[in-house]
Amino acid sequence: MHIPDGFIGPGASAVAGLGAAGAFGVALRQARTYLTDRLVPLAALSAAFVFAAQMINFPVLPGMSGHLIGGVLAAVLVGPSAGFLVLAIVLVVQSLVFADGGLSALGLNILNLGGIAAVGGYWVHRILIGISRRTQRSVVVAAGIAAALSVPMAAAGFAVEFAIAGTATSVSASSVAWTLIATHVLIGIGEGIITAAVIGAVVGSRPDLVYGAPTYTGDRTEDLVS
Amino acid sequence: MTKNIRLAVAAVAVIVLVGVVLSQFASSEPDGLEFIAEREGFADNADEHTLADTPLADYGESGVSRAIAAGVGIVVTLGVGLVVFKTIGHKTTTPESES
Repeated sequence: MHIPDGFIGPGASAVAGLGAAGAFGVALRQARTYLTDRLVPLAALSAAFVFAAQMINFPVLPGMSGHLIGGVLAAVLVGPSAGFLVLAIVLVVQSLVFADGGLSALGLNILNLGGIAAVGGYWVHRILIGISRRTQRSVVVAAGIAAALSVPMAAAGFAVEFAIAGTATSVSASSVAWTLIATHVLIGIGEGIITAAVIGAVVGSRPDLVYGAPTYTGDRTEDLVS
Repeated sequence: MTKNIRLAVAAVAVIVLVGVVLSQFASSEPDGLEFIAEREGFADNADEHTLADTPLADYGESGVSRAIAAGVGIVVTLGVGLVVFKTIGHKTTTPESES
């Protein structure tokens, strides 16, 4: 769900661009507080994996496909602020090198997929961990559920942007919102399955490196459970 | 250390498998946003991407061009990721948290 140029008006797109740039700065500063050298390869590999996985559109409905966002995946692996950075890096590369996602819409895409899906989805994961038994299995299940929810959450973000500043003024914004959210609930099932599988594999081999797991041995910017 | 390198190599192998091989079988149907834009009648509001005529636009068609696009994308995201995260990465400051 990469927004092309033209769906959202230029003013709102520019504001989102500034917001995304500011959020990038905040994320850099926060990630700096906990990102130790041993997490650097995992963070960079997360960006490459999210890029590669986003190339795979899987069929969802007749005539419609979906692909991984990878926000919760990245945020659970390397923390919400580094997860935001992972998505921002992927989106910039996709827009500048592969003409995927509009240049003027880059800020909107970073806010929706890095802000809402990665950071927002991370907090869903954290809440679920808080009410779980905090086993390795609950990390995997929580990541899957949070990932599944992060997709309609990001779609709702676009729906709000479209209602405020969409260029198609003759189109019903509420109809767009509901159909978009409903279809992205379905796409979210794929997101949840892929995220759970990857988090399961990494937690299985290096439970000490996974930021969103109780077994993580590094620093966090917030406690895993409140 | 060698175990870490082995894991990193395994991760790169999985990433290449996903991007270069599995992406050849990706569905070419419109994604959720494109699908709804067509259904609700605002798909035409999309402007063509400024860089739509560049060689790697839309990740190549299929086959070799798509494999090359995937390879380039993996190298670039990994490279940019390493630069960005190396810049902010630091030595562990709290030795007791290192197990």
